[in-house]
Amino acid sequence: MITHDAVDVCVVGAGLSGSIVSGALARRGRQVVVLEAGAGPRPDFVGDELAHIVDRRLLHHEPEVFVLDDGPPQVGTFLARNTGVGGPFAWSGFAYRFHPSDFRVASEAGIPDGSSVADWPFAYDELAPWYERAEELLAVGGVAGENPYEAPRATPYTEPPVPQGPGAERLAAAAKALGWHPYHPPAAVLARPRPDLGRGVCTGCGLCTFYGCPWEAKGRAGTIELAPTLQGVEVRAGCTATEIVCDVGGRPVAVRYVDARGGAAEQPARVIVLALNAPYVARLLLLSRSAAHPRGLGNASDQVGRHLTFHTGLFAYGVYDDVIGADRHPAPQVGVDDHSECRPWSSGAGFRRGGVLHGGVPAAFTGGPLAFARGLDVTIPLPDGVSRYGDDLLRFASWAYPRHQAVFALGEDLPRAENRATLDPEVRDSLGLPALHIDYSPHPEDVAQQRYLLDRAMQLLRASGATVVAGQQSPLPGGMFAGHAHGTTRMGTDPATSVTDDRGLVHGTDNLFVTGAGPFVTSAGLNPALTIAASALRSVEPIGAARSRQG
Amino acid sequence: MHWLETAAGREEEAVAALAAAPTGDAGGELFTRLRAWAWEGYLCDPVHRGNRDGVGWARFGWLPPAGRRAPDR
Repeated sequence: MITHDAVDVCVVGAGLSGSIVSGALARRGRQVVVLEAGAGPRPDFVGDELAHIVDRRLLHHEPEVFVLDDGPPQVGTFLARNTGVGGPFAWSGFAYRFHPSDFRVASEAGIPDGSSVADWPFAYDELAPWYERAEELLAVGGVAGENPYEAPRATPYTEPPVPQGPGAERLAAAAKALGWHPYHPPAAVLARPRPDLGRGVCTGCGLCTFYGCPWEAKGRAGTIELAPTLQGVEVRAGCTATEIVCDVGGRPVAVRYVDARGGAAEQPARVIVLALNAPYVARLLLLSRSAAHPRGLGNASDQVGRHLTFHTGLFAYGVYDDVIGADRHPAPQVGVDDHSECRPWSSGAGFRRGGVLHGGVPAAFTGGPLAFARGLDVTIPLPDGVSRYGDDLLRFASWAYPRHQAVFALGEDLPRAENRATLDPEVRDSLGLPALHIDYSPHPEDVAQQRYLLDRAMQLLRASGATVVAGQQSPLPGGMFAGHAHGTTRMGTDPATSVTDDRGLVHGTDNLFVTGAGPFVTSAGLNPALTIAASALRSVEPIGAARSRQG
Repeated sequence: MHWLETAAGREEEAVAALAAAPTGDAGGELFTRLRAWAWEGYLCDPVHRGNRDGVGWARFGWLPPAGRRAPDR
């Protein structure tokens, strides 16, 4: 085994939160090493559908085990986890601030039976300045005040919004006619070039979600001023962390990993930061069993992995008589926030926390005919009467592709203590380690919420003039949205019911931090990327202070 | 004898039987896989040797955006 010289900070994961933390700490003079399982700083950005839709080249491919409602285990790759230094690459660019109510769901909505809903240990106002900084780093565009339900902001957006295409304009008009309040979703997608950031303007190529952007119009950690590669951070690509090593007293002292050549290596560090996709943080902690931590690191109160949330995910699509070209835009086109937070509850809809609608994008969530056609009858429902194969299918697919658009709903997923990420006892990953095991049962209120949001999505499409409409839950078990996972290292003040404190410091340690969405207490009904970035910025100071305490 | 040989002259019938197989059934999985491969051959970038001269793209009214083509192999 190779044992490297000790460094101030070792960060596991070079995505959004890991890059922000490592770059900021390096700027403060700390010696930082980042371990990233994926590829180096700039993978190929070709617009090849085989590479990015079929092979999903910018996502992880490890086997996972998913148990839905105590049913039989399903083995596959269920989570859409971004991979690569300086990501996320495959994301859509939605850059929301959570609503103030999203930080105090228990206080605002109560605690539904069978849920583990709680308030966050801090309020929106605490995070607001960090949101502003995150928006600046990612060059987020939008129209302040256009969404009447958006979180309060002290300053306008510094970037203009992504222009809406004809399909989105059609949906926006229909939403207004329904009495809703459509808006340009806040997005880290540039509508004007920013040469000072090395970023160009969005060309509307449409090959966006699941792809990297060759013009860097879509923001990512590798293009921000805190990018590790700009701050002198040593980033080791192709390195997969396998264990947090503790000394005999149980104190974390090093990260053990498999390097790009397949060899075992160890990186001692005075402070360790876990910046992985949330369930994989839990997995790494559970893999780090020792005499001092027999149930896994940070798991003395059996909380690691619990309160796992995704988002409820569902969509509907409509086909128009004319070509609308929804395949020539990035995903942030038009949003409707009228059904988020507790608003539907007040009308007796049978659930407390709702979600957001986004429209104006293809049913495959990205442009390209192969993504649409290959998804038909698999992840995209066929309208009644269309054959599953042959000339009839080809006629429908080729006619509908340029004439269709979708409305996606992304809803808040109520946390449950039983919804948990653990280690699978049988299935192994590519390194021979126990695969991620997910036990999940949606809360009954989430099921009601899904029906409601699907109805709203179809209502909006019909109101916009769509002539053929079909819709369904996301194909992930339970209808969950694959790209967003939160919880598993819940933050809180009580170590009996949480894993980290409000800055991500793991209880019972003084030098192990978690960033990303793992500490989220609840999921909100909005895309999490900006909250991940803001929370990471907020954690930089305590991480730096933890290093200082080590002498 | 390979199933394709047994289906010679009765391809439509064979595909219909596969398409009628329940989801999760081996026949259903095979149908989904074969259909996906057909789409990939018909709509992939021609550098992969399918979609000759962009015939599939033309049928869908799509051209790859400038700067987004797969590199020649």
